Amino acid sequence: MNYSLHPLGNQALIISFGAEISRSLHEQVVATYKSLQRARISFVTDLVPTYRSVAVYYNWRTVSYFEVEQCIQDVLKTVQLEESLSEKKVINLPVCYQDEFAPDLQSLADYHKMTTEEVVKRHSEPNYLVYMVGFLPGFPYLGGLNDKLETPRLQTPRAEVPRGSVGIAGKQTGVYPVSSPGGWHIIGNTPIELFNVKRGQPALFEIGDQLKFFSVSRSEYDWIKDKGCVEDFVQVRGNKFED
Amino acid sequence: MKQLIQVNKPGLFLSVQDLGRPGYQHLGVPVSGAMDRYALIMGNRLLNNSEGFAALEVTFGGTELTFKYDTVICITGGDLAAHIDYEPVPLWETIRVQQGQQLIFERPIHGMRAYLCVAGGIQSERWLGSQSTFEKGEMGSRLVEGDVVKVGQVEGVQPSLSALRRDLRPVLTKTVTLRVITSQVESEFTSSSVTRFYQSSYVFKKGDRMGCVLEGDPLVHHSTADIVSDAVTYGTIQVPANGQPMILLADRQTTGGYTTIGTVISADHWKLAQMAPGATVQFERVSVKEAEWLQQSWKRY
Repeated sequence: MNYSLHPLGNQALIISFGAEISRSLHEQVVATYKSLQRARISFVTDLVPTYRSVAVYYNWRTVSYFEVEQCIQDVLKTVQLEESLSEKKVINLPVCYQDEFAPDLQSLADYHKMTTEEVVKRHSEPNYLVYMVGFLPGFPYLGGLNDKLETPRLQTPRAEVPRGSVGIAGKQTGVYPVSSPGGWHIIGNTPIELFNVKRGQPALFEIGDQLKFFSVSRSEYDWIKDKGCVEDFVQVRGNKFED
Repeated sequence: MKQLIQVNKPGLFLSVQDLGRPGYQHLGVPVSGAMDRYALIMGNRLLNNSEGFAALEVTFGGTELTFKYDTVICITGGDLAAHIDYEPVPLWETIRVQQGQQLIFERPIHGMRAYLCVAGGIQSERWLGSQSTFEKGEMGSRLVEGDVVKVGQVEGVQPSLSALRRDLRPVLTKTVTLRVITSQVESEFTSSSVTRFYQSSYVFKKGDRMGCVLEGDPLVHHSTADIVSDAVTYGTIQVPANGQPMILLADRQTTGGYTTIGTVISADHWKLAQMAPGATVQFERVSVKEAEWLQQSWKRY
């Protein structure tokens, strides 16, 4: 495992593995993140895994960067790469792709010279991987979008994208956990709450999770929104990651 | 007698803030909390509160509050021409207020944000362990006209009156110097533009709790301004394609996709909270060790 350590101001230490988006970097990030979680270092306040790094935030009022660096180097010696593959959470996320939730589905289909049905099929086929969570509370950065759906961002971002919106921008697809301005093409909406501060696990997604979208009708959407339980859409698998 | 403060006029932006909610950044939840943590901590210390008790963060002024009971308060941070019954209120000192008295924050004289700390601390709902308002994440909302804020019981005796030592009261200089620890991707910029960045000065254009925008000699990227997203924090200086620095603040995102030149050290965060539009800013490179040494004044107090 190749890495370098850098300060992020005097508040955090960044363990950097590279500068690109790749499965191999992701696995190093997840394995390191898990080792650091398990080490339960008393002065660490946050561990933030990204595409390319893990940021270790520390209590800078009680500990120096030098001490943190020593401690992190010790933990890094214990990281086992296979570990990132050991357990996977798989989320099956229901999405209603109907017009009222999908203001950009038709134009996106036209752009790619496909029918809207083809767009939905291609979007709900892959097993997506959560490369990281950021941008908004609970927002998953997903890898695995079908190349044929790659679409440049909207020319003018919308002032408000409703919560639960499923969108495409560039090579990425994502889901808005809360309402926010945004430049993504909106092609559907999920009735599942991605983020709820009142829940024991406030965010549905964490780095390393797998996600699959499945299409639901308007009445199914309403039923899930009303009576559905988040846990029913989450499975934990012990086996190796499926491509 | 209920321990309440009534909001008659909120002003530009009035919100409850404490030291924020660390521990949830891996879920994309920013730490948030008081923009000027030094002011919040000192106000709480002077009142014998716990350092992390919540206070009201008053932005810019135009704010009017009425105390519904007798208590002891301490106003810290920026000078927003605070007065009670036409008497100016000193900053960084505890004072007694009586039921029915009105506290007005008129307008910014020095700085942009004042903290109203109250003996016992402001009481409000907690989200993920913190009372800090973070509207974008649906964790509380700004205070509006007619809102009533609860204050906690003081444990033991009321705090005795005290004042912060003069030399510990920060004052903004005309040109604000922000000390920076360089980023690992500094080499993404041309070296001549990096040299200019540390030699020339910038103008603070505008900002909110998420970040602020500066204008001056543009930084020049070797290739592109976009990077694969990496962690960012309070004080991180991002540089988008136009080359103008953008500094992230308390309600920042947890990760960012722009090239960064460095991060403003914690000892200078209060300056970021207090700078007013039009301020002149200069950057100075420091090491982590220097940053830690500069931070010591907090521990010494």
